[in-house]
This record gives sequence, structure tokens and C-alpha cells, in this order.
Amino acid sequence: MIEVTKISKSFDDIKAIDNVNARIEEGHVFGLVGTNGAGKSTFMRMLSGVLKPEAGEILIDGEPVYDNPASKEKIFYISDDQFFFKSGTPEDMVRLYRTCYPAFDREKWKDLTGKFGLDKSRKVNTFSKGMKKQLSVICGVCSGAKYLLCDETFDGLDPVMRQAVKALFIREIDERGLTPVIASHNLRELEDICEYVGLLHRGGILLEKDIDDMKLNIHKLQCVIREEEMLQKIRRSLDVVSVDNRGSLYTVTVRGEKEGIIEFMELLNPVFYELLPLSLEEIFISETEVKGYDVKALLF
Amino acid sequence: MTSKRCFFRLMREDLRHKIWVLVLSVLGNMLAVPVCYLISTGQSSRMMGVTVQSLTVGIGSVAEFFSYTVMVSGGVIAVCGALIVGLSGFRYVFHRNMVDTYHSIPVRRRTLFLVNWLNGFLIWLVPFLICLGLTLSLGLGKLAGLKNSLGGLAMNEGERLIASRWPAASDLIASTLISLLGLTVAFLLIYHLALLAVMLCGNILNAMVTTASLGTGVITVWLLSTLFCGEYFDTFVNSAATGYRGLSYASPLVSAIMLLYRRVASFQEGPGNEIFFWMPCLFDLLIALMLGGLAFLAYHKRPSELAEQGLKCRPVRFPIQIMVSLAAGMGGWLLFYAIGESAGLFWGIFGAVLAGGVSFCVMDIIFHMDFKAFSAHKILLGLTVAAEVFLGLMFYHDWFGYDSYLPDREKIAEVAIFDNIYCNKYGPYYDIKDEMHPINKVHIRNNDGVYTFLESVTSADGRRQEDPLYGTELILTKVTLKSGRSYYRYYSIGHGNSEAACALLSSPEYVDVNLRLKQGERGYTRINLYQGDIVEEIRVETPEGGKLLEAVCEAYNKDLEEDPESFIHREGRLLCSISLSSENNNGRRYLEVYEGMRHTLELQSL
Repeated sequence: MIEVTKISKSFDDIKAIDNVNARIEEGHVFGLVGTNGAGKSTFMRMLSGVLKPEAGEILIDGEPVYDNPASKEKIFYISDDQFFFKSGTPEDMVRLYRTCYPAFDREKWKDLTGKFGLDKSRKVNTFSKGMKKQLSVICGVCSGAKYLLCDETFDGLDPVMRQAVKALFIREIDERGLTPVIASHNLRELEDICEYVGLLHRGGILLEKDIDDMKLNIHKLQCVIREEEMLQKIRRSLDVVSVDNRGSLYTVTVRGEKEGIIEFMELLNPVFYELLPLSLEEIFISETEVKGYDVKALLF
Repeated sequence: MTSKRCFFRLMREDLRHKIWVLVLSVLGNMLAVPVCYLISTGQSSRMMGVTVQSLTVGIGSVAEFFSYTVMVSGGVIAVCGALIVGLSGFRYVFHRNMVDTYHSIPVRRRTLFLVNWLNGFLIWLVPFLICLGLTLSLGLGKLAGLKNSLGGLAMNEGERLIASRWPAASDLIASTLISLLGLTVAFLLIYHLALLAVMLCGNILNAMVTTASLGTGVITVWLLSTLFCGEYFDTFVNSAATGYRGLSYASPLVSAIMLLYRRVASFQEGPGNEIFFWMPCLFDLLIALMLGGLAFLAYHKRPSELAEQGLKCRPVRFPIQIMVSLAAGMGGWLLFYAIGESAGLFWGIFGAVLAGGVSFCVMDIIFHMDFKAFSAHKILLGLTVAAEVFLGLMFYHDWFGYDSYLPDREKIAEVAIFDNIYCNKYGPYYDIKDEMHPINKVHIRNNDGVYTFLESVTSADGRRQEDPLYGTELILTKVTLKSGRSYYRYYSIGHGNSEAACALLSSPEYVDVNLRLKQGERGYTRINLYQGDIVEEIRVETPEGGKLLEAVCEAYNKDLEEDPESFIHREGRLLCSISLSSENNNGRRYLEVYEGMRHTLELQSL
């Protein structure tokens, strides 16, 4: 488990990370969402031991991470601008990682590079951005590290490759309990892979929740109602988060169990109603509006 | 994997990506050592005939290479190599993505530092050792070969003596090891300086500027101060300027080059002078170790986010900025003062403000990596420029009281004076601090006479003396205080203070050192007589010549004893001159014979 307790980090006068707490459980995919400048990369660099927090501590399985090889062996950090040796080949990078990560699996590396179609002897500076990302992910997976920190790794990958990488992650999670921590500004990208999501804004975590829990207990109710009184009944009887309307078509975000809501609507008998699942984006918007943030402004 | 294995594997991986530096080192050391050896010793091989002289030249060239030439050629490679490996060895700290990779891998920071440091050192050392070893074996082989060719040669006593002084193989090896030590210390000094600069800075430009500033800043300011002293202090003695040796230790780049020079000088001055190398070598080694320690500490503490920034550490940045601005301001003052003839002071101030201000702003731009930062520290800029102008004015108006300095009478122990004009001995020339210099052999302790002289030359009138015949005559003066401290001045002598000066010039202490012909030094081989256009040369080894030399010396000394003041005043007509010289040009005497020199004139040959 990665435990982050009250960490802060400033760069000159800019507070990049401000008193953040987080808990990343093993064997689950953690998504870190935030706009540009929210502090995602700074947070990831502190988790990987590159930056030292000014306050607080970061423990990897109970051990501090900064300048601690024993903890760092459990982490592989893929930065948003990954370094490759100038005029080097993938083999050159693997030689470095094999030196530092004793558990590096060379057979798996050969297998994966073959499956992803990456030429091991070709110079990395001739690779496209997406190919470099693929190479980074493969090196990270093969390193044997328990935690894979990916900073905007899915950017630059085509949809097919994105699915392939997700499938790879899922397999690794099942086989050896890999714990990917994925930072991105794109919620839609994280939706179908992450189990836990944290929203970072201006150096602080606004929200940190299990996605399934979020989705189970919040729904989008679209209905057409004739009388205003029906709307009042809905407001009184259900746990309404927000109401939006276009003419007589109302979109109501409600919390609660699906069956209970359906039962109520059957009794109410509006002209039309439909219960739809919310996207991660819509859940975030709803949850954070409650906290007083206009998340549309944050995320769009 | 054990940490030792991991360490060496990391070294190997790191070296793979520094192949270009290794190739440069091999090439450079090959040219500097074996190729240079073959060129420098090959010339002596072309001498025809096997004689003791030709063998001595040949052996001398071999010995000279390992003590002298290798310090120059190897020194160039060591200095350049240290800068290159120092500035490029840790280049990953200058790039954010490289820092992310290297500081996220499971390797301790100190291990990363040691790996890179050791590789940088070995990249220079190993090729140099191989080249030096190869060259030494060539040298030893040549030495043995030359000595063997003595075998069938018939030698006289003198030649046998010369041959006995030829260096042995062990001497050659010892000499090579000493040169190796000197070059290694010079390398480490510059290498660690460059590393420290790299650890303090976020990019290569800042690292280079910091290396140059830390490496030469202090000595540059001192040199400029000396120039100011020479320009504005009438009594300043340039050759007596102290402090450069000590201050050079504060400028590692200069200190490294001086260490190479000291090794060469200790060889040239012969055995017994090694202390002039060993002590500085030890100091330099200590400083190199200290710089290395600081570089390590700076790396350990260095925040990863410093990559691609400038120089953020204020306790380092401001002193460097002020020092560079000060040096530029002083240089600007001197340059514009020299150019602006009639309004020198105005132009001096202009130069100081312009050069000091611009350099301060440029340093701000470099350290912040932002053109808009040129006016980031206006108050400090103003204070620095004001300090430079104030410093210039202090020198210009001599607010230090340098020229008028006169210690209390009871603090003065003795005085020494020297003037080329009131001296009949010429060469060999010694440094003013050398005990063989005439100024250090004269010890005038007549307190009244001494104080009268010093009062006369330090008074406001005394400092503006001009002799109608000779213009302003400058007399080198050394004042030694009872505390042991001594200082040197050039005092103006003219009408107003000539009597006080004459009293010291004609004192027995001065006359004895600078005018009297002593028994022990009469090893002259030639006497030349100059009378108008007539020149007559007499060889001393002839019976007449030997007698003449004795007679001249005796007569001259008698005249000197009877009336030393007449020698100073040069009373009467100049009738002729006598020059006493030797074959080895080890100094000569030039005796002027005036009307009043009765005994010298009575000599039959005149």
C-alpha cells in the first residue's frame, strides 16, 4: 500500500501540492485526475522519490520512499516525457533497468515487444510518441515493480493500443497483483480501467472514491412531467443532487438504490421516465458541485 | 545482486554512454605523452657522433621530458579533460526527464554520485597512466642504451664527472611519479571545481559561468587591485605585491596551473628546491578534497526540480554576481580611464558604472535564465555599482594613505634602499623577495638618518620631488618594522630630499653591498677600459691582467672609503669607465671613474 500523509510541495512561491492525504491499496487501479497545473506530475514525482516533500511523508509498504532503494525497487515511474538514451535502442534502456531492477523479466520483455511490434534494435529517437509510450509501459511491466506510476501515459496512444495496454494491465494485476497508478486529465480514458479515482485540484485532493460505489448509488433520471407538483414530490421523496430541464424534459440526478427509485417513479406515473447510468464525468460534476466547485470549469 | 556488483554494472552502463569522452582522452593523452616524447627526444638523437656531450644532451632530453615537457603537454590534457568530464559527467541533472529517470530508479544518490565521479576520474587517469607507462619504458630503454654506448669511450676527468651526474633509472621513475602526482592533483582540483558548479546550477551555461567565476574570480580581483595600485599609488612596487600565492588557492583554476608551473620550476632550479612543489601540492590536494566533498554535499542536497533552472542558491549566487561585477567595474574603470585622457576621472567612473552595471545585469539574466530578470535586484545592483565607484575613488585619491604612510619612529627596525643608478653591479637579476636581491642585503639601522629620510619622502612636498637634471628619481625602499613585517616603496628623490637620501646612499651598509668590490667575488675574466671612443680589453688570466684587476679593485675601494659621497654626487668630470665581466655572464661591474678618484686615476694603466 502507498500511504501519503499530509504532503506539501512548493516551487518558489507556487504551492504545487498542499497538505494531501491519499491511500492507494494494492492490486487495484488508481486513477488521478486533474486539470493542467493541478499537481499530478508533482504528486507522481514525489511518490516515485524524485522530489522530496517539504512536509509530510510517503510510505511504500511502510517504508519511506525518498533515496531508499528498497522502496524504489517496488516502483517504476513512467513520466510524461520519458527519457531514452540519445541514439540508444530499446536494448540500451533494458540494460539500465536490468541493472537497477533485479527482478526484471527479460523473457517477458522479448515477448511483449514482439507482440506490440517494437523493433528492439531500432533507435528509439526514430520511434513515434506512441511507440515510445508503449516501450515505457513494457519496461515498467517487465521491471517486476509492484507499483507502476504512469503520468499521462495513455496520451499519444491510439485507441487500439490503449485497449491493448489496458488488457496488459489487467493481466498483470490478476497474475501478480500489479498496482497501476495512472495520472490523466482525461476522465473518459480512466473510466473503464480505474477502480479508484482521486481528483486533484490546485494541489489538493478534492475527492477520492471507489468508482463502483459512486456509480451504484447515483443515477440520472430523465422524465417528462406534466405538473410542477410532480417535481416537488420527486424533490421531497428522493435524494436529489441536481435538477436540469429543457421544457418539460427534466434530468434529475438522484442518489439511492436503483430499485427504490424505479418503484417510486412507477407510483408517480409521469408521462415518460428513464433511469440512466452516469459517466464518471457526470458523477464528478455532481459530487463536486455539492462541495461548491464548478467542476465544469475545472475539467472542460 | 550484491551492491558491489550493482555498482560496477552501473559504472559499465554509464561508461557506455561516455565513449566519446573516453576516445578523446585516449587520443589526447597519446598525443601529449608518447608522441610528444618521441618528438622532443628525437631531435637530440640527430646529433652526430658519440661523445660525452652528445650523450649528456640525449639523457638530459629524456629526463627533461618526464619533469618538464610532460607537465606542459600532459597539463593541457589534464586541465581540458577535467573541465570536459566535470561539466558533462553529470549532465543528467540538467534535464528534467533524465532527472526523473535517474532519481526514480532504485539506486542511492551517493551511489549515483560515486559511479559518475569515478568514471570521470578514470576516463582521464587510465589512458594517461597507460601512455605514461609506455613512454617511461621507452625512456628507460633509451637511458640504458645511451649509457651503454659510453662503454668503449675514452674519457678525461671532467667527462667522467659529467657522466657520474647522469640520472639513474630510479631517478627517472621518481621524477615521473612526482609529475604524475602533480598532474593528478591539478586534474582533481579542476574536476571537483567543475562538479561543484554543476551541482549548484540547473544548466550547462550556468555551470560554465560558475566554474569560471569560482575558478578565477578572487585572483582576478586581486590582479585588478594591483593594477589600481600601480596606476594611482606613486610609491607602489609592483614586484613586491604580496598575496598572489595565497590567493591563488582561492582560485582553483589558477592554482592548478600554478602547481604545474611549480613542478617545472622545481626541476629547473635543481635538487633541493622540491619544497616549492611539495607544500603547494599538499595544499592543492586538500583544497581539491574539500571541493570534492562540497560537490558531493551539493549533489545530495540538490533538489531534482533545479533541472533546467539557473542558479537558485542565493548564498552562492550573490557573492559570484558581486565578484564578477566588481572585477568588470574595476576593469571598466581602468580601460576608460586610460582612453579618456583629459577627463580621466569622469571616464573612469563612467567605465566602472557601465561595465559593473551591465555585467551585474547579465549575470542576473544568466542565473535566472530570463531576459526580463536583468533588473531583478535593483537595490543590490545600485549598491554594487556604488561600491565600485567608491573603491575607484579610494584608489584615485589615495584615501588609504598608501603613499604618505609613515610608521612611528619607535616601530621601525631598519631600512634598506636600492637604486640602479647608485650601484656598479649589474646582474644576475633576482626577484625582489629573493634574499640575493641587493635590497635584502642592506640593513641600515641608524634610526635618526632613517627617520629623517622617511619623513622627507612621505611628506606632501617630498612626494612631488623632481630633480632638474635627472627628473624624478625613484629609490626602492624596504622598511622593516620591529614586529617583523616589512613593506616596499618607490620614493621620489629630488632637490628637497636628496640630502636625506644621500646620507643613506653613502652609508657603510649601502656602499658595502652595492659599490665595494669584495675579495671573494673577484672572479672576473675580462677588463674593458672605455675612454671616449677608445675601448681596450685585457684578459685577466694574463699576468698583467691579473695584477691590473687587483690594483683596480684596491684603488676603487680606497677612493670609496675616503669619500663615498662623491660617488653618489658624481663629482667632477667622468674621465673613463672600467667594466669587469666574466665568461659565464654571472654579473658584471661597471665602474665610473671621476676626477676626484685619486687612487684609481693613479693606476699606471690609466
